[in-house]
Amino acid sequence: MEAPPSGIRIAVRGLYKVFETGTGQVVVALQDIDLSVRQGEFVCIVGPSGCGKSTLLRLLAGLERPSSGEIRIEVSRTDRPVNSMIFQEQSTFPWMTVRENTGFGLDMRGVDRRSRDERVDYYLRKVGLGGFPDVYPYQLSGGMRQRVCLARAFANEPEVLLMDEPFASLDEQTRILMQGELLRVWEGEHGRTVVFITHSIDEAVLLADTVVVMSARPGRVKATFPVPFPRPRGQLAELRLLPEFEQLAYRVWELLRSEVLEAQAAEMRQWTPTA
Amino acid sequence: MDTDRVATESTLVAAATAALLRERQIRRQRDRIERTVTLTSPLVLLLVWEAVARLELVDVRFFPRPSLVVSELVTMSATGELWQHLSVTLVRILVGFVVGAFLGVVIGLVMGGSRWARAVLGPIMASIYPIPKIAIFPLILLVFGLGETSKYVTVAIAVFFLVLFPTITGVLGIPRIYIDAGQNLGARGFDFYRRIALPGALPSIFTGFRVGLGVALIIIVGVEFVGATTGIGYLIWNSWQLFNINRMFAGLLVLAALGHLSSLGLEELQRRLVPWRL
Repeated sequence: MEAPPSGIRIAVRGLYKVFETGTGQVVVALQDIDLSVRQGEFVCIVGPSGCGKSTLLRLLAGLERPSSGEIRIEVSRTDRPVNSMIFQEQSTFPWMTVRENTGFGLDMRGVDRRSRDERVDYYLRKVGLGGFPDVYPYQLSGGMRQRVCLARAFANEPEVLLMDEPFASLDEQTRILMQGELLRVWEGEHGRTVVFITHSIDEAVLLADTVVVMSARPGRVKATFPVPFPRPRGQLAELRLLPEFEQLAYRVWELLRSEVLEAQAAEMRQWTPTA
Repeated sequence: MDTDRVATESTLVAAATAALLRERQIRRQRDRIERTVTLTSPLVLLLVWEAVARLELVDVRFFPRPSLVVSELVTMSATGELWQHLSVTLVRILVGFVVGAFLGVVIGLVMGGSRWARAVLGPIMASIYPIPKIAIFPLILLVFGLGETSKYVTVAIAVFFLVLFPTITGVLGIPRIYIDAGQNLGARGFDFYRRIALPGALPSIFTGFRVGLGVALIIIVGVEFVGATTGIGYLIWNSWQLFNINRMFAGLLVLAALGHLSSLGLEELQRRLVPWRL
């Protein structure tokens, strides 16, 4: 995938998002966000609950509009979608088979049947679902459904992959396996840009080239950490044992701790007993 | 000893397996009895009725023996009278249902998917819906005349509303995540309606179909009572006027079968069109 001349795939400048709650209160969800993501970079965004990291991703996906500020995603090929999103919740369409789900984005773009099927089969094999193209999602476990979403997003060949805590609702053992799968598929792709939201510091450090730490609400970018581990990362379990891994995870946590405490304090202040 | 342990273990496994098989056998036996009871209970009712009628414990002028009704049915079938009435009624239900259901689904999808369409059409639909459709049959006769069209239109209008509202509810009930995912993958306009809204609302749409088909049967019989000279409804009404009670019951029997078979048919259609679950 050719890089934009600047090498920057996503540029966010002075981004604000302001909400009105049901009771008419105005809430600043995101405040003055500046963020640059290089072509082919894997960025993980961590932050306390309610810091607006999912909102940021929805803004990047174009599912919501910024209140002010600018989001630029460089487009190098107009025949491809700008982004594909992987959601935290189960988002495979229940009325489509695994194959239909995976090829849906390609269908919508009018890709001809043969190259669609080829690409679908390729990515289904990649995520280990080559054997179940014709089953419906209700017949699959949560982890398998998330694999379908992974295949669906990759098959769509977007400029940017957006992942909103894709493994958060899986059990821990499945999550560990899926992290490895994701890296395996992504590292074989040659430079697809990824923005990945997570609660988990471990997950961020394992997967990312750059970890972005967000503050408690209003969400701002508090710090960015480059992650030095070479790719392909291979066995993530071994990576976890490295002292560098421990140190980096600890530094991220140190920075996050005060934000998490702040987020919890704010939650307590705003808590009112419901009648 | 190792071999001893293996031996004991395999005996235990064998015992557990035997217990499982016993359980399965008992379950199967119970299922078989249940099925037999389900199949025979209507027959038992008919036999009781036959006996009661033969013993003249009921007034046989009003409740003739089932065997007489069946033999009447056989005669009517042989003369072709039955098929003539049945086919007319079937065509009326089918045409009316298909037209009404189709329009109900299409307009329901549009109203479910568009705030504007709901704002414009919602109040109109809500104000027409409560009118009993049989009540507008005279008006429809005025507009469409005494021919078949007026029957189709009456059934279609009734079915339309019963399909429309479940379709709207179905679309509005599609979880937000599927709308977002669809949008993110580029489903817009017609694609959105065909690939997301329609299949997502399909279970709810089928609820509408079931109710609509039941009501279509009611409506067509009402219409044939007063405004037709053919059809099963006419057959029943005419038999009453001529005091041919056997023929009247034969008509009722046909209606019961029609209702039952059509709902079975719809279930089969649903199994084919909705092979998935949430």
